[in-house]
Amino acid sequence: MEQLGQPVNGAAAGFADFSPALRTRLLILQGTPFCNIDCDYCYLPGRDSRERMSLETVRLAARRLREDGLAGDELTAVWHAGEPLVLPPVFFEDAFAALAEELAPATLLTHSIQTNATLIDDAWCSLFLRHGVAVGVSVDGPAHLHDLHRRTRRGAGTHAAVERGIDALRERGVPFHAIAVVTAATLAEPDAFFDWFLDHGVRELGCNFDEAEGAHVGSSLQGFEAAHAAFLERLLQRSIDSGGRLVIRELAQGLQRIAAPLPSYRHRGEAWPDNAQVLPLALVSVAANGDFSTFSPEFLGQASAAYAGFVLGNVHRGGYLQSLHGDAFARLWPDIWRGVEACARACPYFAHCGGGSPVNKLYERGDLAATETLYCRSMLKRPFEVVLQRLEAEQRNEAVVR
Amino acid sequence: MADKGSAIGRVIALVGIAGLSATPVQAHVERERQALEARVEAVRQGLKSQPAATRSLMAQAANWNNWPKWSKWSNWANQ
Repeated sequence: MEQLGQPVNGAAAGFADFSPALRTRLLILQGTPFCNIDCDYCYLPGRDSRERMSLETVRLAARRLREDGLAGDELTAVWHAGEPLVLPPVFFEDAFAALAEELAPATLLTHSIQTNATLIDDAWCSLFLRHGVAVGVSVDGPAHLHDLHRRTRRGAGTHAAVERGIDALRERGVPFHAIAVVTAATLAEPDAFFDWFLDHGVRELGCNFDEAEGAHVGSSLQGFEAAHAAFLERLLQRSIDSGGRLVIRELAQGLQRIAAPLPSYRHRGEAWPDNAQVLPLALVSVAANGDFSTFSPEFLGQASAAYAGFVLGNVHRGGYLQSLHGDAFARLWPDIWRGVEACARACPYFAHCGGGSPVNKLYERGDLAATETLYCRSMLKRPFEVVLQRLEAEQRNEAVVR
Repeated sequence: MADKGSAIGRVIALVGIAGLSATPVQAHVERERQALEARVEAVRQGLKSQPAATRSLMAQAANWNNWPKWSKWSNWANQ
């Protein structure tokens, strides 16, 4: 095993460390890059490839974490970046067993699958229940909004198939949450959007506001920022009116960030607000062929000459820590850290964010060292501000009543 | 066993981050930051006496741990 922590080229003295020690929080596994549908806003390249992760790759992805001391007490493994359910249930039975053999009992492992739900049937529900899989369904709300973008390769809408999958989950009592891509068309219909999820038994909804990333080069939300604020205000009102039956992730996170400071870590002698997308190996993404990356998970599979395709290494050839000595990391990390420092200097919200999202900086601004992006405004700043203004108004009203 | 997680920091530091600017936080940013933090602090102080609707929202946030853990840290999951 590599002798970690030893000076390399005699240059270790005087360098700052991370505290608390870095651990991997999320292992993202690409069972296959293939997707059975063809959403027009998808960032992922290679969705036609039927490559499939081998069981040996699954084992190595986990074993390297254990060998490198990156697996802490708890770890979530999520199958994503392609439609996981195009693989058969037996693949996951074997993969879950392999992951457990490599990581349990020292690490409590949670399984998660992000799916378009079009292939969910009774057999899948049995597997989800047997293994306590956290199921995330990608669905954009009512059919007329969903089918605008989430279509088959022949151009047909997929909403009816998604509804069948959700019905199967509900009939079997499988807990699930939903993640919706919100485009400009959605902004005009906050009530129809909210009601659809409420009516379909969704209790937790993440809104991914349309982002420019990878193969998806432009966001439909550009120029609709006032409408975006109004949309969020309406969702907040509806969430409160529903008595908490439907929680919106971005608003709940805004509330959390207001209610209490972000955790912090120390690096280079200073305290920084926690942000997993800028912490090396906090998020580890492993492709079907064993290539791995870190920082923003969307980097995996993207072409980049400047950053060697964002591939730090391959689990078949070496470990995660070893890859930090490699050329790809040596190019990527300084630019990401410059971006964090730039945010610290330029953004009033830095204490509540910790440096933004590197992948959005790169694809929106062309520079990992950039600062504010549309992503920052739509996913963090504006939800934060909408919740803060609501709380301020409530406090003013309370004061008047007194 | 050595704390390898901590060792990561040393390895990373060895990569070197050359040319970082020592520019301090811009003055107008610092003013905006202070104003924002004053608002946040005022709200934190007042949260205990919030109206019922907002207390309900607070309860929802407290239950956010039920969400898969990764979502607490980053909104990586994508379209």
